[in-house]
Amino acid sequence: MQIKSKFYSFLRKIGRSIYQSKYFDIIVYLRVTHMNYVAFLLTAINAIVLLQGVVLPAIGIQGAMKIYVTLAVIIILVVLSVMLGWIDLNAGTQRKIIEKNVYWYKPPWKVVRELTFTSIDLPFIVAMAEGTEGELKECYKEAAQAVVDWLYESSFDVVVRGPKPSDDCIKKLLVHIGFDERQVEEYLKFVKERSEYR
Amino acid sequence: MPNAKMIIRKLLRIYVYMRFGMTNYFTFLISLFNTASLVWYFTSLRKYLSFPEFLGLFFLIYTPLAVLLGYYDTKKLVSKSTYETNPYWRRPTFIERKRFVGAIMTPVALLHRKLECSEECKKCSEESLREHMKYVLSDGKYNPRSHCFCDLAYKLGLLDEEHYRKCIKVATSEPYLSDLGKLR
Repeated sequence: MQIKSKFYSFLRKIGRSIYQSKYFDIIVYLRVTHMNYVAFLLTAINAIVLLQGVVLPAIGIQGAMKIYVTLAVIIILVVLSVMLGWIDLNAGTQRKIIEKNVYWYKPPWKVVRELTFTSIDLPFIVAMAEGTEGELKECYKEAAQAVVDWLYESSFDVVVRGPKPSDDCIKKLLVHIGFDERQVEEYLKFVKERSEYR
Repeated sequence: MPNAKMIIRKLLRIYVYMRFGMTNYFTFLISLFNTASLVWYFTSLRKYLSFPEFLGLFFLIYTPLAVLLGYYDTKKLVSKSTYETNPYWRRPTFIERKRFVGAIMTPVALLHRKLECSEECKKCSEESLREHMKYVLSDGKYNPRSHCFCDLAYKLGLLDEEHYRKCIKVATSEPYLSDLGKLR
């Protein structure tokens, strides 16, 4: 257990220094350039070289004809790729992959938390807390501080945990908003289960 | 008459479409074909089957298996886990941070506040809405910095000194990673 936590804090330390390093941005830009331009260009060069040097001579196409056939193949491939790419983004795998993702219809963790009182915005907390006293006000205070901690720490830390006011407080706050207690129990049970698969 | 910027934008879009078409269909099919050819050529299978026969058999076995695995993957395996391991699963984005802290506010939210809260709170809401509009109209170039709600929360006793300081830092933070030093 201790080894696990030491290893985890070691990872966090490395992660934090990478995240905050301006020099690491160079790798980001390098990767983006490679992925978006260079890799594609290299594939195109490979295809042309293979076509010119291996495939066309093997099927007996020589001389100027080789250049015409290569050009024709490139034009056909580019036109077909553009057409297929448009279809793919708007109706094909790109669109369907997004829509078939379970989180297209399941609320993701952040949304679930956002919809509960645990990470509701500060203006809402302020508006609701006005005029409250005692235990209820303490709960609003807890919620406000938990939200501020979450927002602040997520700005620079590597691992981010959601704000977690106590269950008792969440219950009180939800009842104050107007939910009945049975509804709140069910709701909190669901939220807790959802936050499990982090 | 389209200007150079518009032409470049159009060309880039065409390039993106081309890359999707290439990557998702041609490269995918070619790589399958390459694997099938290698397996056929370097194993003793070529003694028993011709290449077209092997190709037919390969796709006959591979296709239903891949479809089945793809289905489970989308619903339960790597695709789902990839989404869940994304840090933005629990990390607020820059603009969410501004919204949660009250530096900006949408008109619908303002309507709600108008009915509910005190004069001071309404003033803060209006300030946040103005910041929101400036942000939208500038196409994201304007950085909203209103910390009216932090002040109000502090005044109401909802935030202690430490949290008030953090709240102001979040509300006035810069959007870029390289500017994080200023936030800390």
